Amino acid sequence: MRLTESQIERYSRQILLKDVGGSGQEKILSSKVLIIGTGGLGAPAALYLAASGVGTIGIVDGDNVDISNLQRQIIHFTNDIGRPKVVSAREKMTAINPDVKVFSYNERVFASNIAEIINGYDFIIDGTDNFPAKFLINDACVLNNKPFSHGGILRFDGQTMTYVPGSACYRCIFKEPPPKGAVPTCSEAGILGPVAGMLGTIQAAEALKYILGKGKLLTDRLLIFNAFEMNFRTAVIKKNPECPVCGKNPSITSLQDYEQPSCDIPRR
Amino acid sequence: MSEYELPEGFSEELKQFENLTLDYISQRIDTARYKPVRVPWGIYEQREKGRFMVRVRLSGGDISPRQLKGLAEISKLYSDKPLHLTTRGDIQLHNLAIVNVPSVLEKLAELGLSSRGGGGNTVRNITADWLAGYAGDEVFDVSPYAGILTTLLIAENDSWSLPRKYKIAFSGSNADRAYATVSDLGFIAVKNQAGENGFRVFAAGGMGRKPSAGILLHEFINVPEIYCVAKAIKNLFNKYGNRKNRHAARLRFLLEREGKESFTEKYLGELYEVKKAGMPPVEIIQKKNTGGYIEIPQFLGDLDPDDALKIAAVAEKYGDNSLRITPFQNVLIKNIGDDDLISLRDSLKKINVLKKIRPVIDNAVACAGASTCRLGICLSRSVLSAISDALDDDNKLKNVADVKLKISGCPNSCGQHPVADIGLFGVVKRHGDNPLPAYNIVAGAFISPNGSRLAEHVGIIPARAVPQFIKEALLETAKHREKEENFSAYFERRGRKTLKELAVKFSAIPEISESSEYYYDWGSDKQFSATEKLEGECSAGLFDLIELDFKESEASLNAALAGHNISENLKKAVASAARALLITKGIEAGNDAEAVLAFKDNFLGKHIPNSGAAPVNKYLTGSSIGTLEAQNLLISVKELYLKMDDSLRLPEQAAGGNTVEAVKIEKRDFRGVKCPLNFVKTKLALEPLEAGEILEILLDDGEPIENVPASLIAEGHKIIEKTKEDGHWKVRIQKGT
Ligand code: SF4
Ligand SMILES: [Zn+2]
Repeated sequence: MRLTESQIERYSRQILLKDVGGSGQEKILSSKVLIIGTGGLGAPAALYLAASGVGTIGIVDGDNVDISNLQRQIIHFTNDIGRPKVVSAREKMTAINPDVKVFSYNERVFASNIAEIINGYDFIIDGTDNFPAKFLINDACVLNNKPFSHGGILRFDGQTMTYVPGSACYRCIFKEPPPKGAVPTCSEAGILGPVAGMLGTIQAAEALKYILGKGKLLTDRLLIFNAFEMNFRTAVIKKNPECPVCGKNPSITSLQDYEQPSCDIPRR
Repeated sequence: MSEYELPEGFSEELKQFENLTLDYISQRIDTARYKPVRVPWGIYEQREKGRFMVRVRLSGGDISPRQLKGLAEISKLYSDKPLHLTTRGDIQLHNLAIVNVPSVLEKLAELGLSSRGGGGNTVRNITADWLAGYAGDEVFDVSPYAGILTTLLIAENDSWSLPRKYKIAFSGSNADRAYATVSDLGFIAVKNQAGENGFRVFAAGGMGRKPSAGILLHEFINVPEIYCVAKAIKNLFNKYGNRKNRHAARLRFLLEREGKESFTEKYLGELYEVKKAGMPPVEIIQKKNTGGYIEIPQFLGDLDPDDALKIAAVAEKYGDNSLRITPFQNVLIKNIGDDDLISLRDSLKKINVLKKIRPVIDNAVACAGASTCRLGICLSRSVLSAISDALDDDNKLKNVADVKLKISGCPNSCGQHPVADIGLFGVVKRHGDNPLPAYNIVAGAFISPNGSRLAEHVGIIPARAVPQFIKEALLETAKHREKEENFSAYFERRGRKTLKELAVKFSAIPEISESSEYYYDWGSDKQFSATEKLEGECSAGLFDLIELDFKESEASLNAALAGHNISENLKKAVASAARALLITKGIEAGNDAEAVLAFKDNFLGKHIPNSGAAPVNKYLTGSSIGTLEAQNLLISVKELYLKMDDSLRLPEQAAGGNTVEAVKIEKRDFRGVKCPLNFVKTKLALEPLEAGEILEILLDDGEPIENVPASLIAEGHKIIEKTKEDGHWKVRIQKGT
């Protein structure tokens, strides 16, 4: 493999790491990561992964940029308001790093399209903001043996875990989406901008570790933090033999859509 | 005659350029600023730094005796090299010092000549049928129109900043001797039903790296319309051409991108605008030629200035309009009165200007090649000399004197191999660990307005075997060709098969230990090295070609992603990805399908995992290809490319060498490399080594020597030696586990 001179310089601070080196950087350059949602979590993840040289990045989002997004979704700028988020995100990513090939999917994930979208990617980042999508992504990844990073944020709190085939999945802990209205969403409860950045970058770091095959992933662990107290802790979680999707006798063998909470219905 | 006229205001433009040149000489501006102005003036820097070539345009290759005399004098004054005649009828002055360039240009202007448009992205020299005025089959003499069109176009400022070069040609008949059907714009003389003279017009053909024939633009135009058509194409090109990627900028790529219909439609729009604005008058010139002509061969197009003076002196007698440069890089004296024809031949022999006639060789063409051209792979001129030496039996070869042999030093087509009867173009081939010079053989071009066929690939042989191959091919042709059968017809009937057999016969490559000469190019005393070529600026040759395919593949992929022409673009993306690395195995595929097939045979399951087979098979069976599939294929080909070493060897070929030394010491020079990049590079150099192997690096004093060894130790490597050599350090590192 030949890293070009400019690649060596561009990625030098990463190559310097003993656990990355030239061969690790090559792995990164030839990896493919899919980011579902280019909002609070997806924005920082996309920027960092593009900057790190992930060769192919897919971004999925059906929304347009709204002024209320700009406080935390740092990949979108004021003059992007009204443009499809994937278009705006793709522009920034290729501007940061022209090495990166960005595939954009200007749509939401549904049971009908998700399997096709995640096919071909090495790692998936869940950057969505609603439970139906999170469960759908979990099920799709488990059923298709795809590693992924789950992430969720609210107010000052964040939580994340990483799934690889064989480890505990999101449903092992949370059996099904909460009933509509039971849990507030960001748009109702609010979110401190940097909390999104904190969590999205953790997800990006997980993706890179997975690609490199180095370090300890957040598998069978749930990382929970509260930025108000600035408290981090990890809870050990166990694979649930009764899990409806990854358990011994799974009841979920095909994908289904859950009802969207009312405030998440696409505008317009 | 087709002499052009310098435009009004030319002397001011020249003055400006001269001032810029003076600024450059006195280092008030740098190369980066000077070069973009210099090249459109037809001035190129040669391989030796500080030496320049000036390419003088001659429309239709026509030149007056006074002008030739003037050129010879300039050459004697400022150059120590012969005048060089090009296949497109220009004359080049070589080896000029930059300080002399302004004087040379002024003297050219006094002769009514200019080098403007001799290079760069400009309206290039306009060529015309070399037999114009004489050919038995010509509809009318087209040579005046090359001159008229030149005069009009060189007066326009936008002729000098096109997206890429713009080549125009005039042919007098369907024999298309000027290659009008393979030019950016080509005119072929015809008569309409009313019996009036006019032209059939072709556009967007071209040779270059991906030669292709043009499309028919007009069945018939009246002679005076040539300017409007040429201007409309120029405007079209200026408006829609691709300025970003110079490798996909020629007019034919615009055609490819737009498709024939949209291209034609846009063109007609431009034509309408041009016509509306009114056109300058183009005079219709009906002239009869007098007498006959004699062609004086100049081997490799090199014309000794003293010979040029003698030729000019002889030609004066036949008028202003009596000299022409032919595409065979020879000089033609024309307008020779019938009575003089025989005696002139004798006197030319006597003054030693007309030498022994050598069939085939006299009409053969070779590009500049790797000795002076920055892109060259093989020494094309030297191989032609070697061929010339091998063809000793002129008698037998008389029957094949018409066979056109054309040689390019690399896949670019400066030697015009795509239109050859037998053509060669240089490539790098490998045998085991060793690169060697080789030529692809193409043959059987058939040029016609009713559908040109470019020379087709018949094989690839080592450069060393080329002279014998050509000799046998010619003797074979001489023996079996029927009377009146031209080469392309013979090729169809029999030649294709025999040439392919011959190519196989000569394709063998002996081990370097048996016949080391196979690993030397003709005319070179250094062992052939692909790496060496890949290092210089020229290097580019191969890398450029590969990158170009990647870019094209990506562009098609992007277009498909953006929803344009999805299935076509995905096919294109797969084909370009498949083609990219073929050249590293010496395979040049004729078309996309061939490329995909060759890729399947040579790469799939060998260097590229079989998982990449899906899009390839879909391509070949015509089923529709998925986006991610196409993208994955491109990525795996790119990955393979990145794994290749600097000599473009495939990974397992690189590993195949059995040159194991007792202890292998890798050496790298990291002097001048700042912290921490020196450490990064050291790490990268260590990675391919096995634990225990040794790397020797040179480091600067100061920060580097203080930091790098310590960092290496921290990573588990061992420093086994650290010595100060004048001003820098030599450090030997044993790789840790
Ligand atoms: S064909 Fe290749 S080697 Fe020959 S002059 Fe053109 S670019 Fe140079
Ligand atoms: Zn589970």
